[in-house]
Amino acid sequence: METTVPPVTGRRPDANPLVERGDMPAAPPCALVVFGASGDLAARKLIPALARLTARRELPGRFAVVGVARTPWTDEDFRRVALAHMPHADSGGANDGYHAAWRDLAESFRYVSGDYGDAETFERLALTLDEVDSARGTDGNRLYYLAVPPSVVPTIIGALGRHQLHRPPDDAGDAFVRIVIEKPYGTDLHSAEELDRCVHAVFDESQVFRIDHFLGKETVQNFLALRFANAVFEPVWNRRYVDSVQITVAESDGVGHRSAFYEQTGALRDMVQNHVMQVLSLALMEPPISIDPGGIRDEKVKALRAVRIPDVGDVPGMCVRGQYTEGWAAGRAVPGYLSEPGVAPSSSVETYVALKLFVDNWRWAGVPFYVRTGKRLPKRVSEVAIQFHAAPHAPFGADRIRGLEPDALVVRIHPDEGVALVFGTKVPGRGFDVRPVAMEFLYGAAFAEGTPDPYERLLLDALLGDPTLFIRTDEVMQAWRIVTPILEAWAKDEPPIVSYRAGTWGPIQADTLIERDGRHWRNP
Amino acid sequence: MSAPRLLGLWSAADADIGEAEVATRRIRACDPAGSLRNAAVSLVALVDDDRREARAALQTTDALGRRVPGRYIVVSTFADRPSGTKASIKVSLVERTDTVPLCVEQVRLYVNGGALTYLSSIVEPWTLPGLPVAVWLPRRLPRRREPVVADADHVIVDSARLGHPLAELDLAALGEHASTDLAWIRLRPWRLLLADAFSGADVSPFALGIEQVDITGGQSWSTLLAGWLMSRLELLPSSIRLVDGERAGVHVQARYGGRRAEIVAEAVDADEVHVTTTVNGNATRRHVVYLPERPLEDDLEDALRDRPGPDETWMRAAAATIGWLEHQ
Repeated sequence: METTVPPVTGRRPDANPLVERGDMPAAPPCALVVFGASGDLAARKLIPALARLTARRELPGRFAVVGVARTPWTDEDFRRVALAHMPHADSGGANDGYHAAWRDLAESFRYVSGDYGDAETFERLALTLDEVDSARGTDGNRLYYLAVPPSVVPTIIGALGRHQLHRPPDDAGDAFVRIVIEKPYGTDLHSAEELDRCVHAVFDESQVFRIDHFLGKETVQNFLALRFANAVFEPVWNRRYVDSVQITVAESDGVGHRSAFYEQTGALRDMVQNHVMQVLSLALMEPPISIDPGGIRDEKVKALRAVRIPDVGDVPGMCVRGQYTEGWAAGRAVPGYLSEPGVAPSSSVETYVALKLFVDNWRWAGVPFYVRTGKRLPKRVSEVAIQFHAAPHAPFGADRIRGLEPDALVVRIHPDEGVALVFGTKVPGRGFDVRPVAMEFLYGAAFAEGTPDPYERLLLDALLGDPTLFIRTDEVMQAWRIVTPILEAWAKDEPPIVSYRAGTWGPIQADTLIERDGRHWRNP
Repeated sequence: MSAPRLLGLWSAADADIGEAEVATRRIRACDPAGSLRNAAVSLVALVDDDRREARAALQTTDALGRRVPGRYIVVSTFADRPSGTKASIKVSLVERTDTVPLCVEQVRLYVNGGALTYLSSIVEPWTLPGLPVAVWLPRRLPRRREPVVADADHVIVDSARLGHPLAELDLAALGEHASTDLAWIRLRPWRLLLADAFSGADVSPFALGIEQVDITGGQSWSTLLAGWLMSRLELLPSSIRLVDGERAGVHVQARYGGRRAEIVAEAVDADEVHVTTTVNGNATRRHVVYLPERPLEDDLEDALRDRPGPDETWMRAAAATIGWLEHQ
C-alpha cells in the first residue's frame, strides 16, 4: 500500500523550508530597540516578557535588544538590569539551561544613552544597530518599542525618519521595520491626529503597531470565541433580548508612583479612551468574515462608529466624574487623591468616570451601555455584564420571585477569568419560589496551564508582523471622537467633579445616573 | 502547585456505573472544593495486560491530572481471567494559587475474560458526558475497528515506543483516526530549533544545498527527525546518518553558491543546547537554547491541547522516515 503525501514545492533560496505554518510559526531574526529602556515599563513588563519567551524558545536565535534612554547607563548596566528582572522559569528544578539561555540573550543587550532630541543619540543608535546586525545576524529587521511618555514620541519618530532608521538598511533585502507605540495615543483628538500625521510622515500604517495590553489578555480575546464560536449566544446578542450592558474596569490601587503621568491623563484618557473602548467594540461588533487583522479591525471600527457621540451640552446628563478621598482600600487606610505624592493640591483630575452610552445601529438601538472605571474602588475587577430583559410574564406570583433579577451573562476579564450565566431556578421543596443562581465557567477550571502575560503575546505578534491585536489608526481616532465632547464639557467644569470615598464603588451621582433609568449597578 | 491531596478511594467488582457515581459524589462532598467538577477531557489509557505499563500510566495520568482537568481511566484487559470487571476510583484535590482547585478523578478499570467482548459498553459510561474522549495507547497502534478506539475523538500513540518502526500500513491505519504521535510532539522543540537555525538571509539559501546531516545521541525521535529533514529539505536518504554520540545533537553541512556552511546544535547539558552556525569556516553566530528534558505527561498535555486530526507535515515526515529506514 502506498501512502500519498503531496510533495513540498516552491523552494526559493530566500525561503526557509523548515519553517512551517500552523503549529510553530517561527519569529524572524530581529533587533528589538526599546526607547525608555531604563524606565519602569521595560523593567516590569518587557524584560520579564522577553525572558519568558526565551524560556519557551519563542524568540529567534538571531535576536538582540538595544536600549535607548536618557539615563547614563552602559551596556553592562543594561545587562545587569536584564538579569535582575529575570522571572523564575515555569518548571521546577535548577533550570540551568534557562539561566544560560537568558544570560546568552542578555549578552546581546546594547545600550545607547542620550537625549531623544540630540541627533548624536540616533547616529550612535544607527552604528549600534549595524554592529548588532553583524554580530547577531538580525538581518536589518527592526522592532522599535516606544516605552516613553507620549510627549517624546514625536521627537523620537522624527529623529528615526531623519536618520533613515524607519526603513531597512539598503543592503537588507526584504527586511522589516516596525514600531510599537504605547498608549495613550495622544491626549485628545487633535493631538492624536497631530501624532498620527507625525507617525505617517515617517512610517507607513502597516509598520505601526499601537499597543493596548488589554487586547493581549486571553479573556479579552476569548470574547471573540465566546460570541462567534458558539451558536447559542449570538441570537440573543441584540436589543430584542438585551436590556442593558454594564462594563466595569475597577482598580483598588491608587495612583501610586504614576501620579506625574496620571495628573496629565486621568481616568478618561487612561482607561476609557483605550481599554474600555476596546472591550466595548468587541462586545458590540458584528461577526467578522474571518479572524484576520483586516476582518476583526474593520468590524471594531464599524462598532465604534455606531457609538453615539454626545453633544457637549448632553454630557452632564450621561457622565459622572469623580475623585477619591481618604478611605479604606486594599486592607488599609489610604490617603485621598489630593494627598498622594506628586499630585497638585488643587488638582481636578478625575480618578473615576461613569458613562451612559448609546449605540446607533440595528443591533443595539435603544440599549444603554453603562461604563464605569476608577481607582481606589473596593476591588480590582474587569467585567462585561449583558443584562437581559426580564421574562415577559411570571406565572409564579410576584412574591415567589422576590429578589430575582433578569438573567445576565457576565464575561469576567479579571480576576477569576471566565463566564457566568445568572438565571432563576426553583428553590427545592414545596411551593414554587424562584431564586437567582450563577452557572459559572472559570478558565482556571478547564485550562490548568497559566495564560501568558499580555506583553509576551503582543511582543511575539509584533515580531511575527501580526497586527490583529493592535489598534489601527481609525480605531484610535474614533475612540477619541467619542470622548472629545466629554473632555470639552469638563473643560467648562460640566459636570463638576464629585468626590467618593476610597474603597467604595464611586460617587453617589454614579448610582443616580443608572437608577433614574430604573436599573442599578451590578455588584461585580 | 501543591501535591494532590487524596479525598477518597472507592472500589468494587462488577460495579454498576450508578453506584460508582454515587460513591464519587460522596467522596467529593467531603471537601467543599470537591463539589467543583472541572474537566475538559476524558482520557482512556488502554494498557492491555501489561502490568508495568499500567503502573506507569497511573503515574503519568496522576501527574497529568494536575495540569489538564479531566477524568483519567486506565484500562487493563486480561483475556485469560474469569469474565467480569473491577473498578476503583481515586479522587484527589490539587490546590492552586490564584485560581480554583482542581478535583481529579482517576479510574482504574479491569475488564476480564468474556466481558472483553463488551469493552466499549463497559468503558463508555466511565467517560464524562459531553466532553471529548481521548484514547492513549502507550506502546501500540490501534487495531482495525478496535473497541473504544473506534469511538474516540482523539487517539494518541507513541511511534517511538512501539519497538518497531512505523510501516506504511500503520500510517494508513492512523490516518483513519484523529491521531497524534507523541514522538512528533517530542520532536517539536528540535524542529523549531533547526527552523530557527536556518532563518536569516545569509543562511537560508544553504537549505538548498544540504550535503550531510548527522544526528547523534540515539534519541527516541532521531529517526523521525531524519524523516522530517528528508521531507522538508527534499534530501536523499543517503545524506542523513545516525551517528553514535552521548548527547543529542544535529550537525548539518551544506554548500551553496561556492560557500560552505555548518550548523551544529548540540546538547551540552540536560537542559541546554548550543547552536553554532559557521559559514566558510567562520563562526557567524552562536546562541544558547533552553531545552529541558520533558516527562511523558508534558507530551501528553501538549497532545491534548493540539487540534486532533491529520497533520500533513507529520504524515510526510513519517512517510519519509519509512523510506529512510528502508535505505539503511
